[in-house]
Amino acid sequence: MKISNRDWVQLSAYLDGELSVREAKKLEDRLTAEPGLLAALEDLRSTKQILSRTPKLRVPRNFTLTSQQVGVKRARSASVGYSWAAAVLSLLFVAVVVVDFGTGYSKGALSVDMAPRSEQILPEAAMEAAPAVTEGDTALLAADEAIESGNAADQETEPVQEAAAPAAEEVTAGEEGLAMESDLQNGATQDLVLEQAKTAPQETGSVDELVVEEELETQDETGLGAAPSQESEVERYYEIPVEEIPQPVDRSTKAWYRIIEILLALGAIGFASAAWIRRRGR
Amino acid sequence: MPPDQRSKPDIDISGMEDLQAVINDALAGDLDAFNQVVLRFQSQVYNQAYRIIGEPDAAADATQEAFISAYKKLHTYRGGSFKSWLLRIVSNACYDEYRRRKRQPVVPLLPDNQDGEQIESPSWMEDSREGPEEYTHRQELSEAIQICLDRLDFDFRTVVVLVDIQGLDYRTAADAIQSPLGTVKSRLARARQSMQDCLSGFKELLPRSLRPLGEVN
Repeated sequence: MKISNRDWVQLSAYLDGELSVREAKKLEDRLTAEPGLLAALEDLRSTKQILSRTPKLRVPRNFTLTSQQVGVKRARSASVGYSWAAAVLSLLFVAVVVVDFGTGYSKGALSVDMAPRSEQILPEAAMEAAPAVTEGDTALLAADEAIESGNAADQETEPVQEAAAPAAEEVTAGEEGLAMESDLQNGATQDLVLEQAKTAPQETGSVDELVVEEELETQDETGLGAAPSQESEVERYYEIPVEEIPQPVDRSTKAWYRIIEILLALGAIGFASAAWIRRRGR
Repeated sequence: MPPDQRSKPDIDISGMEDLQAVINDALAGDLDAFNQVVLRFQSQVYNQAYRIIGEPDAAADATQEAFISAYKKLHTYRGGSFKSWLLRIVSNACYDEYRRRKRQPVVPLLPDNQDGEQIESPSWMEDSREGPEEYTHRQELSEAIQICLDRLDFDFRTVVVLVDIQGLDYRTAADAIQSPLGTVKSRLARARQSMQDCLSGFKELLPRSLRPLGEVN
């Protein structure tokens, strides 16, 4: 009797109880009707029993693993080393970043790129206003001299006369070789005259007021005097201590900071990846 | 060297919970814990390797490689049948060893003695508890089975070893060889059929109750 491959598979699975109930019932019906199929089943059963009785061999030796065989110590120590290296590089990276940005902000030495817009404008405005201020100072001095000469010529107000008298006396003293002292007193006289000239027009409405105003207007038209906006900037400029004025950033230092930061970051990432791969590879 | 000095008795990892605890320790990098697993399964793994490859030295090499591979791949074990997972690795190691041996000159099944002659009964196969007649019969039957197994293709041999010799069910065997259940069924049926034909030539070695084998066809 010829048994098909499908029948062999069915018989084999039937022996192991791997057929469904329906399939098993169907096969049992056939086994009853077909003696050849039943004989094949018994042969398979015998084969299975022989194989299941296959003598077990004793192992020739133990197969326990050593650390050298699996590279545990090397892998673990390398992994730990990489982790430590990554941690140290990360800390160094943070430290460099703190130094880089922290010192930049605390000293005001911000780079042009990083500084706020207002802080960028201030130094530029101050630098632009500086020449105008110098010119404005000169114009103010000229105005003062004009006021002084005008007052001296008229000699209509008593304070001016009183102030001018000591000046004349000091000029005499200057003839006696006290030039320095005379200059200082002359300066004081000029200051006093300027103060009085500023207060006098309000009180007396004298001709001097017109003269001073004309002089100032003339100077403004010629551009020698300081504009009101420039004056405010000048005041701001002079209010800022020199040491607090932001200095130009040393770009080479900044570049070195960036290079060191990048190298440290790449190193930390590299070591962390190596440690992770080592652990996974074990 | 006496057999009892050659191999220590396996440590009993009784119960799945204990085995899982040991595996967890091994996963944490505890090599000693993994070695407990090795001692627990080494006999089963070695027997599978020997029956598939058919050579003691190659089987030992495959067993060692399988355990090393298992340790390195332990993180891929996702629970379930550890035996199935381990035997899958063993099957792969056996296949690698089988292919490597095929490319190299044939190594004799039995080791040589000091005079260069083959030893018919390797000392590591000895069992001091059985008598000479029993030992001889067991030895001859083992060799007959091995001869028949060697005649099978590698894939069929692996399945019949897993199911009929190692005692795995179909699903575990399918997991071990990473093949569908139907493949296991068909391969096993064909392998049994071939083994039946082959063993019928060794009727005198078979137990009396099984001697009708081969008389049907």
